[in-house]
Order: sequence, then structure tokens, then C-alpha cells
Amino acid sequence: MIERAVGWLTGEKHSTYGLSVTRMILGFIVASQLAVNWPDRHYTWGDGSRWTEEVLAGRGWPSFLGLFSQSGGIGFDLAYLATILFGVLMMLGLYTRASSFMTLLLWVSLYVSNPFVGSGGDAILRMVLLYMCFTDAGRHWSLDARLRGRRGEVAGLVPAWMSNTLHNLATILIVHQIVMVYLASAFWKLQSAVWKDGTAVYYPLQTDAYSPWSDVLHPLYASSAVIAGATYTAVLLQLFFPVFLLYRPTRFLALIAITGMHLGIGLLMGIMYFSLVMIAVDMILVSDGSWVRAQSWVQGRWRAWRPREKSPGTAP
Amino acid sequence: MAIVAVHLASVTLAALPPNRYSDATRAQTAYLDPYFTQNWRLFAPNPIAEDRSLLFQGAYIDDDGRAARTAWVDWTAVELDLVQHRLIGGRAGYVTNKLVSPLRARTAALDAGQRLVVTGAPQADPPTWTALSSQLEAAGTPRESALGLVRYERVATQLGTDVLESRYPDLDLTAVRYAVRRQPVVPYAARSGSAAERAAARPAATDEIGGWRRLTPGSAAERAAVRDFDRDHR
Repeated sequence: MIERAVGWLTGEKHSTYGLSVTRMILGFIVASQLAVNWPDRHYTWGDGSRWTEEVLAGRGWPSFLGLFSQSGGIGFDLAYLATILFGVLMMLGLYTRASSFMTLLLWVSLYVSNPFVGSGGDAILRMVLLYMCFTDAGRHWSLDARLRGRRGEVAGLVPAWMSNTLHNLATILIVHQIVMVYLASAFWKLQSAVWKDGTAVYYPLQTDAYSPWSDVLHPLYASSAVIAGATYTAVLLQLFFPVFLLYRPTRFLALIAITGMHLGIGLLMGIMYFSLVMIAVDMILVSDGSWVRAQSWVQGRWRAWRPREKSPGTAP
Repeated sequence: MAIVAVHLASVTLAALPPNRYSDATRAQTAYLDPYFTQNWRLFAPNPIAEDRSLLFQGAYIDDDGRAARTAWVDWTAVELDLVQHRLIGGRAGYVTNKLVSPLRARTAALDAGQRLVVTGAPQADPPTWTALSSQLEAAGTPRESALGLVRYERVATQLGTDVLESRYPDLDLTAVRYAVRRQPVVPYAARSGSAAERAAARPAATDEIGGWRRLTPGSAAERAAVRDFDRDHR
């Protein structure tokens, strides 16, 4: 048993395809989010957020994360653009470990500069980014992989067993964190009457902050079947998510259902980036075999769709 | 390996709702804050069921030399322009939404006499921050609580000053105060009525109005950023 566990841990890197997908989506989230918020960057995280300093000082973040909270004007803008750049590099998988580390450092520095902007999605993002720095998240579907294909494998700084162990332990930490998010959230929900009576989802969907489309979609939100369905689906999916992960068929269905739930939350409650972060980290749970099959399917469809080259001598 | 095992256990204990085991190991899991803070309530146990807004009002001397007040400025409504009817909301859409809860919590923890110190400061002569802290302690507020409360009063006042100076650049403002407006949503039982019936069934909004504070303007760059945001989203 112990021998088998040690073998699993040190023998090879697991979930490399899932981690690559997570890396791409998280890089996209960092870069696109900052690009979308460019017009309001100074009020959100820059000079216009300095009124929060008294509260920020009491949060206990280390001073080396003060890049954004201590810079303004053009210096802030350059650091902001650098964060977008490293997010893109991470998404593309160029110098993956270095670009992941720089994205982590810059993103967390930005996050801590305004204590009233963060969300659960940001918390997950910073934890997963940190763990991901110890993984081989650029193993597939990355520019690093292409370069490796041309130049060949470069010998690592540490022995393979150590690199594999770090990768696999970091992957375990990520998966454990994902499971704890769902499980803890379900346990909190079970303590409330409105989650148990199937009406909880109705309330935030009536507020200005968490219902950007309530004026258009009110008939939907007034339906007790829709509200009860969404409420119980959320509780049951989160509560049994770890169990669903144990068997391939239920894992597949659970991932589809929870991705749908996140998309619904993102679109209807206006918290799309939180949803995208959760979708991104859930992708680690899809097995490498499934990702390889998906890749083969996409490549097959692409080859079938691509117009065939005309062979010489073919009549016009 | 052992470090990972300990961390996994710590995350598990800190993430789940408080229980006898998490209470007993609180000191051992304290290292998780702030980087690995485990707060996954996600609209639980009780989902948000009210609109919360932060409003600001300024005091000034009018042309006849009399004390006057501006209209209330609903700053949360300005921020919500980044949320309403947008597929991808702007991150600044929830700033005051997240400020309101801790701001209220610090005042709610006070007794009636202490609360009077916070809310009763006069328009003509608002206290300095040092004086407000001293008055709170004199009223029996523990030092840590008083410091925490003044910290939040100060950030709200600084934002309010920046906002009012943006909105009323020609007025000679003398003081500022904030109000937290709360209005519960339409009750679940009334969800199927017409728009008029739902509006009638919705509980009225209540305002919790703070005391007057001295103007606490931010830097020129801060005020310019708040002014630009106000111009783009009001």
C-alpha cells in the first residue's frame, strides 16, 4: 500500500492535461479581467482606492506585496500592464513556471491593494496559482511544449522523482482545496432554513448587487419550480461532489452539472469571474485520458472539416 | 510530505463550519490567515436578502452665511452602474457593498451611550479622530473596538469627502456624514404579484445616519480618480 502510494507520488506527474487547461483559463482570467477593468483601474485598485489605507493596514499582508498599493500614476499603469502581460504568457505557456510565479506575485499585489474588492474567486485564484507554481502546468498545450518538441527535453535542476513529487503534492493540495470549497459551502447551507425549504436562491436574485437582469428575468425568478430546482441543485451538487468524483460516470456528470451551475451563477448573478475561476480549477478533475480523447476528437473533426488540398492533375 | 499533511488537515478544519475540533485547533490553524483564509459560505447560511447602499451628505455655508446641507449622494448606485445589465461586471461595482457590513457591525456592537458618541457629532463642530477615539473610550468602549470603529469611520469619511468634492466642486464644504440604507427584498410570498403589488409588499428602506465628521480629503490623485469614476458612472 505504502509502496504503491510512494510509486504514485514519485513515478510520474499526474493530471498534467487538466493542469494545463486550468493554467490557460486562469491566465485568461487574469489578463482579460484587468483589460475589462482598465477604464476604472485607478478607482478600483489605484490612486482612487487610497481611502481604504486605514483598513488595509490592519489586514496583515506582507510589505513585499505593496507594489500596487504604494505606486500611482504611470508606475501603477506599468505594473498593471505587466500583470496583463504575464497573465497572457501564463495562458500561452511560455516560460510557464516563471510567468506563473510573476502572475501570482503581481495579481496578489493588486488584490491586496483594495480590501473591498476581493471575492471568493480571488481567494481560490491566489491559492491555486501558488500551488500551480510547483506543478508542470506547461507540459501540454503550451509554447513551452512546442519548444520542447523542437529542442528536446532539457535536463531539470532537480531529480525527476523530486519534481514528480512536488507536482503531485501540489495537485493534491489544489484538488483538496476545490473539494473543501464545495463541501464547506454545502455544510454552511445546510444550517439555514431557506436553503432547506428551497427558496434561498430567490433572495440574492432580488437584490441590485447580485441580479443584473432582474428587471428582464423576473418571471423566471418568480417561478417556485425554478427557484427550488436551483436551490436544491446547488446544495446537492456541492454536498455530494467528493462522492461523485470517485466514479468516472458520476464524475463526468457532476463536472458537467457544476460547470452549468457556475455559468448560471456567473451570468444571472453578475459574478462571471468567480464562476470562471471555479470552472478553471474544476478542469483539473477531468482525467488525462479524457483530455487526450477530447484532443483526438477535435483533431479528427478539424481534419474532416479542413478543405482537402487539390492533388496535381485534378480537373478544375 | 508532513508539511502537506498538516496543511491539508488545517485547511479542512478551517474550511468547515465551526465545530469542537476547529475551535480546539484555532491557534494551530491561525497561520492560514490571510493568504489561505477559508471562507466558503457563498451566500450561506443566509443569503443576502436586502439592498445595501452607502450615501453621503455634505454640510456647507450658503451665500447668506447660513449652515446648509447637500442632497444625499447614493454612491453605491454609482458603483452599481458597473454591474447592472452587464455580462461581465466591473470589479468596482461592489466596493461600498463590501464596506457597509463591517461599517455597520462596528456600530451595532456599541451600547446606546457609545452609539450616541458615533452618531451624535454636531454639524457645526465635528470631532477630530483623536477626540472621537477619546470620547468612545470615555463612554466605555474597549480600546481595540474604538480603534477599529474609528478606522472604518475614517475610510467612509475619506471616500465621502472625495465624492462630495467631486459632486459639489463649487461648494465650500465644512463637514461630511454617511448613511447606510437598507431595504429588504420583496418577500418570497409576494413574488408573483404585479410590479405595483410587489412594490407595495416590499418593506420600506431604513437609513442609519452617522455623525458629522471633519472633511478628510485624499490626495489630489485620489480625488481625481474618484471624480473620473463619478463622471463615468453617475
